[in-house]
Amino acid sequence: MKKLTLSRKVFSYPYILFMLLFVVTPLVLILVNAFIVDGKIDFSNFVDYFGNPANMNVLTLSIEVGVITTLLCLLIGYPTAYLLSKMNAGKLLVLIFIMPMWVNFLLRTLATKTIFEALGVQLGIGTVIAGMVYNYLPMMILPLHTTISGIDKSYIEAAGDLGASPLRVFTRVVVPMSMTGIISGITMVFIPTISTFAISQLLSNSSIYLFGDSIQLKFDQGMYGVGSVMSIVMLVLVLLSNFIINKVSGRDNQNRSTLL
Amino acid sequence: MSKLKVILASVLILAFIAGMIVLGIKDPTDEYLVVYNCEEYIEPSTIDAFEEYYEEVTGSSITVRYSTYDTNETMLTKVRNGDARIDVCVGSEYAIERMLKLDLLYSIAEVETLSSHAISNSALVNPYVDGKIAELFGDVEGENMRDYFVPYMYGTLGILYNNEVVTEEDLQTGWGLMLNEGGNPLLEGMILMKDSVRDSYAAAICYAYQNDMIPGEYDGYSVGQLISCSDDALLAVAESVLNSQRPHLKGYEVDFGKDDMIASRAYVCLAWSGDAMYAIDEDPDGKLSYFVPELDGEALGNVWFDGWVIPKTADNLRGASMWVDFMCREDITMANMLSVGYTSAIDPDILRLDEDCRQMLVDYIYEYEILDEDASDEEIDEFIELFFDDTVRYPETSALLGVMQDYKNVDSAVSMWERVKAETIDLIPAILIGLGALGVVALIVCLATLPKRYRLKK
Repeated sequence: MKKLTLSRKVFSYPYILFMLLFVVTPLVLILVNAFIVDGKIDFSNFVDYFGNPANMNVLTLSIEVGVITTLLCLLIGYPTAYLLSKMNAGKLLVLIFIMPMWVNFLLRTLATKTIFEALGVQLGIGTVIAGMVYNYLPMMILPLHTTISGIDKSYIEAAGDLGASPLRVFTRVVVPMSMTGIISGITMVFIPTISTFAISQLLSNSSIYLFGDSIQLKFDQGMYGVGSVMSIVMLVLVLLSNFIINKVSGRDNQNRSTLL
Repeated sequence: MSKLKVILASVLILAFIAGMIVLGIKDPTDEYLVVYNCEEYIEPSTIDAFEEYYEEVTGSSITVRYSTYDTNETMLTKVRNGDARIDVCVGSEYAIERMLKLDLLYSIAEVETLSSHAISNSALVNPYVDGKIAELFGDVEGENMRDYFVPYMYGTLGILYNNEVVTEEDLQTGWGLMLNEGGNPLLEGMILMKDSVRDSYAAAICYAYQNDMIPGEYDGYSVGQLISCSDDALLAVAESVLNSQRPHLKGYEVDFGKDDMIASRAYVCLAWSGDAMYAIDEDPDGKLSYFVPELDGEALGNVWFDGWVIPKTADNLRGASMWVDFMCREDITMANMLSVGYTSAIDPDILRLDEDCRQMLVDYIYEYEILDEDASDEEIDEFIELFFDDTVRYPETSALLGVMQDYKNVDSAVSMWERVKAETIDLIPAILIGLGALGVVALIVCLATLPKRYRLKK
């Protein structure tokens, strides 16, 4: 009789079960819905999706909104994280930036909507982007702050002593050394922004229609096939952006995973 | 030692299994009923009242598990999947037609036989409602649809507007009000459309009908046939109407329209009559009105009927049939009607004469301070007459009020709707400007924070 031993392997079973149920099964279902039409393998869902110019417009707009949001987050987040890492109370101040994340994001977005309306701002693409930046900014600041505060000060001092101008110190020392933070910040902001739907619906009175909204409508209308194709497109986008980011970051990314 | 491990592992596994059993198996005497209704479509206290009534009649207790959906399409998807138990649910006529075609429903007769409980209050339904349903849905693939559902509420699709802002000239444009055809500058960007394919399509087709934009090949089609048709030619007409409407809109909504109208954040809103009644009741200033646009003196629009159905996933048939029966009872009908604003499908002539209903109306009058506490009986009678004669609540029959039927081609209608909603905005200049401006700012901030003593000249 084989002995049942409480090895480490035994403790991984619940985790494996969880992954099978909630990660593998949904993926298989998406593939089945996308490729199988009336019991046969069929690409008609793909033809339906890619043959419709409106779908392409939605996808382009979503990617553009994602790019703008990520850029804004980076450009607001980087100086913020940089300043915070210079301050003694930086660790505490970071908390203030993260605090909004403790509030449920739907409530946060509804509150943002009320503020925009009270200020008399016309809801539209501008408010959608503002809402997204507000929601995802902490995701950018957090990894950036961790990396920037981890940079050894003596590198900066050495660069200065050796005669580098401040601009050179910044571009040749600080930015390259914080690259890992920038990369993980971009990943954490860009990917969720492409697929959000609640923010765009609430902050534009549903007049801005993004990729996430489109997927939601497909599943609402029972069009599982096309909806699944769109989910695959989404997955491919995620993998693609990860691939590109990894390529760009090159050797620097080995500590990436430790940041989060 | 290894024996100990085996014992330990078996104890853990047994404890785990026991825990699952305790969590998974409920007390078999704990009977429940799954009710799936549209949002804000019932007076919540009637649910408790049903639980009490059920215990009174049968002697056993029941718990109602009540859940809601926002559009018929969501409900249809859930019922069609068939993986969740739903004992009784509400749907609009076209959705019921689809469910019937897909063979998802029990007939009322089957339910009555299987549950040995008769839904006798179904006989109280308004003859007008029954007539319309018999006329349009009397033969759905050989079945009479009325045998499969019990009407719950009905009403029209029309326009809720702010009467302080919308002028008489604006109203003259009829459905054109949704496109601000009167050119009222106050209405620009203050119009709300429904974020729902079917309702927006119906409104667009009504506008096209009013303005003779329907292609010639559809001459002789009734309004109902037009708003139920998903032919490409008609979809193209609707698409152009909806596209030209877009610049005038504030946005699309399904749930916040009432609040925005009351708070004057919007002045015109495509609305179902019940939502409109509710908003008019709740608005303290009396600035809201509702109308169904007319063509040659006849109301032109959509009239819809919602009803209770019992899907084949139902498990508690006795509970379901008693629920439907209970919902048709005069006092419960009245309570729901006063609470949600929609018009019950129960014959108003029966409600008018019912003593309980009269008392509820009197309470309603005092609660909303419509009349003073010392109002005479004549005044109260007069109010009750007006309540039942209100043409918003009980629309007059009109040949131009169409009923929706199931689309033949849902997918092309959804694509049309997506094309309307997917606005192309060129964001590339914004990306470049934003990148440039903020890059400069970021650089300055970072440079300024570098310690001064390192700023050496080369």
